[in-house]
Amino acid sequence: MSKVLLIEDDTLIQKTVHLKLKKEGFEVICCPDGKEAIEHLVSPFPDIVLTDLMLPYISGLEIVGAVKAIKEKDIPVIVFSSMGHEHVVEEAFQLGADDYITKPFSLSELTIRIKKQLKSK
Amino acid sequence: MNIISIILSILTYGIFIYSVVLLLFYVFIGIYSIGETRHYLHKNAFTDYRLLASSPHIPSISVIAPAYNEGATIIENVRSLLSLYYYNLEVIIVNDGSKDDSLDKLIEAYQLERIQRHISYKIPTKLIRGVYKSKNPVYRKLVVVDKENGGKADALNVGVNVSGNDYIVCIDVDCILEQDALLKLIKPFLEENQTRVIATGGVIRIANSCEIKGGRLVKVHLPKNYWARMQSLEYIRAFILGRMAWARMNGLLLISGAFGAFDKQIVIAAGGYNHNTVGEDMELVIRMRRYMEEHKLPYKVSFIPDPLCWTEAPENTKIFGRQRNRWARGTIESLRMHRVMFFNPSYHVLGMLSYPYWFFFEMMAPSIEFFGFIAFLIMAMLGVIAWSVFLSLLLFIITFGYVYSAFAALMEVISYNMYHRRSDMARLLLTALTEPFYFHPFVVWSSVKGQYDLLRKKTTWGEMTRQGFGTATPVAAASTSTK
Amino acid sequence: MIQKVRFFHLISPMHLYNASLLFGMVIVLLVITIYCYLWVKKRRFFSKARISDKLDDCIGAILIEDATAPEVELLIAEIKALLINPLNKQFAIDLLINTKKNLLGQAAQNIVNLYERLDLKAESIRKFNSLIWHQRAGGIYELYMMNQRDMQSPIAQHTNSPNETVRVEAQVATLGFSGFNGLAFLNDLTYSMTEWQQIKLLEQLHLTSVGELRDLPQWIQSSNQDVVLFALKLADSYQQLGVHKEVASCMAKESEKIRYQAIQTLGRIAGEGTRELFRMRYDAETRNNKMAMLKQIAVIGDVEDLPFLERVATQEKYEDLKIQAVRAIATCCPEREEILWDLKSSGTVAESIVQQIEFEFGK
Repeated sequence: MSKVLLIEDDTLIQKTVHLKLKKEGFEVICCPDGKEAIEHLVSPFPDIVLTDLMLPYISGLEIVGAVKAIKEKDIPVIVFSSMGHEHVVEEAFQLGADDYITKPFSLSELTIRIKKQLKSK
Repeated sequence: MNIISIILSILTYGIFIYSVVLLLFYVFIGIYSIGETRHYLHKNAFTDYRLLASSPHIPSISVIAPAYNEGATIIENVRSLLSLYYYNLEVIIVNDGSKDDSLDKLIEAYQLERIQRHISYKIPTKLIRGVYKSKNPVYRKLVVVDKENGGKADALNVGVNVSGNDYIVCIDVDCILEQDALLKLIKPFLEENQTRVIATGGVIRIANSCEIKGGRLVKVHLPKNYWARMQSLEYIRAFILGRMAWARMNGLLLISGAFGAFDKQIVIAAGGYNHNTVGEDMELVIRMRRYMEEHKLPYKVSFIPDPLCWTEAPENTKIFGRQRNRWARGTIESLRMHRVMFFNPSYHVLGMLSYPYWFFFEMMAPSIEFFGFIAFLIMAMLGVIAWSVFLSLLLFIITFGYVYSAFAALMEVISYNMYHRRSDMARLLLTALTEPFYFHPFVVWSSVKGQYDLLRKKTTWGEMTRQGFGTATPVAAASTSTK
Repeated sequence: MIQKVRFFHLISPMHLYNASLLFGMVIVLLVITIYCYLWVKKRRFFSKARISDKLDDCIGAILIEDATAPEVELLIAEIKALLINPLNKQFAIDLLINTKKNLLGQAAQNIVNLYERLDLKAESIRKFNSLIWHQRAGGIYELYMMNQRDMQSPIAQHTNSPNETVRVEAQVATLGFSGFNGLAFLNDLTYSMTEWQQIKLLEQLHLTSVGELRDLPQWIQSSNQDVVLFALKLADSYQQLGVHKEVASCMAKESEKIRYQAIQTLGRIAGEGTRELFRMRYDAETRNNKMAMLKQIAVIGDVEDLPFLERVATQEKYEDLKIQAVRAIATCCPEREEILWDLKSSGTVAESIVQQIEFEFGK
């Protein structure tokens, strides 16, 4: 069972995504803010990180950087954010994000993309 | 005897008229602010600020935070500034010649390197030793400027010189901002077509006793400390009632140094912060307004009532007294520098209403109250006081003050309701009862001392008291009512 | 003593005591009101919590399971029983909107269905029909967020409403319903559009798939200056190369803001003559707009612009413009290092400026 670290401050989205992923057979750890998320980036590492960009304490971009700095394991990061403009997406990719999903998003597409990332690693 | 009697009657009538006008102002401010707050709340009830956080069309902002010996908390404070929701943002930390290791800490934590940057001293300032940016693209928003010590105004000016953006937001580095604070603060600038919004102020709330985690406010509590609690009430009155009403009249004279946004072009055109006053935040707004008036440009100074910025209030009389001492000096200095506007019709609301109001009811009030009290003591000793009249007047003024405070508390409950526990509200209201006997006399005393210090040309900042907001509205002149 | 008596002809202690008594009563009244409010707010808080509990469960079930499952039916019945007053309904609507905002596809449609099944549409329509401006604006917002297409034409009638908030919500709604075709309201807009409204509209358009901007030349030449400004932003965002001529003509407008946006847009849709136009107009422009031009030239310029840029770099009186000119030189010239060295050694530009640019490009 793959472990997903879900970082999202909006409880509604967090819950929705959590439910969906659980149904798809993932183990999900939810974090409401960047600070708590960083604490989860230790061994045993999650298999994939799903993060919003606008987060309390520590921005999503910093999380992307932190995940990519982990040497022990190559963890794919999917950013999902309501910030859909080119320049923001580009920046996220430059920092090492593996995929970018703009809100509003479709739950089934999100699952497919997560599975795809997990397969390619 | 005749001359004395004339002087006395002039004094009596003068003070009487003064008090009546002041009371009328309070009534007017209280009522007038309601409409403004209501309109704001209705208009923004379903605004989705986050949608705009990444818009390429939203103007660029530089947050300027001067830091002096903040080593203990600087890393955390900067991190929370970097997580503010705003794409087109630059966070400028100005290290004002700190004697501690603030700069080294920043360099290490954020992987800073010194960059080559030509500084144009558009506003003259102390020398800049170096500009630093991060090697790590995650922190691309961060700019750290190291300069020689020159005080808060000078540090802010350096920030303005270094800023490459359209708007500047000046904050105290230790204050706690809500994540969408910038989005809300920038909105008023984009809402006027015919007039130019040159500055927007925001509400300051007291963070004492609140739960704070990692530079973020988690839970709001009413301060446990008496002085801080009293200031909470004072700030509610000043911001929810006072500033909203003045903003509606476009007569706002002060934007707190702890949290305000400015149009950078106008700041530079007006000459930046003045480092010859301890009230640099108030002085800047006055000067920017004066600049717009003198160039006959239509403009507006705006204000938003959302509780977006939380700050630690002084909890002991020593620091609190020094703060009020400084505010009193700042007010006099600022008003003195711009005395040409006093009842000058060519400055419109600014000259005919805002300035005189501040002159008579913010600047003069402490001295008038103080001398009223002295006069009362002398007369009491001479036995010439008609006690029944005196007591009735005192009661009148005190109850009026309570009405105003209770009204402010009600407005707070209706609008944002940050203190929603019944016990908190009870404590707040009970604390208000002590104001005329303890808190207010102390504020008056500190202000009078400030004015006296100014006369003796004492212009230094108190150690450790680097917050600088403006004078909050004091309760009606309580003891002016001798006789 | 004498004047005291005279003075208190006007006002006697009795009056003051009475006034104090009145104030006292006002205080009691205020305190009672405060506590009533606190009580009401607390009750609202709990009823909100109840609704949000049930609604969360319901949303969860709908998103994951079958929307017609018996337990969903049961939940819906329970929630309906809670939605007894406008405040509760409002809370439910807000919650659904916030959920839907982030979703696409079937999940989003399920939320809309839930909104309809809870009879919340009636509440939105009631608000829409209200004569109070913020109610009406709120109603419009809810109806388009919940994609109620049958309300499209009644809402569209308000795109030129005298009330600013109603107007902009109706405009956003129209774009939400019909995408780029919805922009037709620009043809007969008589009221102003603030920057904020323009940003809101652009963000709304950003969410829909790109369509055609047939009337764009007409909008750029509109008599409503705000429409002109907005049209220029559209041309910029969607790179409308076809309107170069119309945009260029805006460089002669009186409004500094319009000229500024025209410069931005021209940079994006640059073609033959763009840079020449900039060079020609440069001296007559404001400082702000000069900066904008130099920034655009840095992107679209080439060696042909060097003489102009060198003139600015050496003769311009404002330093920020000088720096930008040197930056533009560095991007336009293939032999960057040499030309920067030349500038530095000739002493016509401050050494620190050139060093800054060298540093920027060295990275």
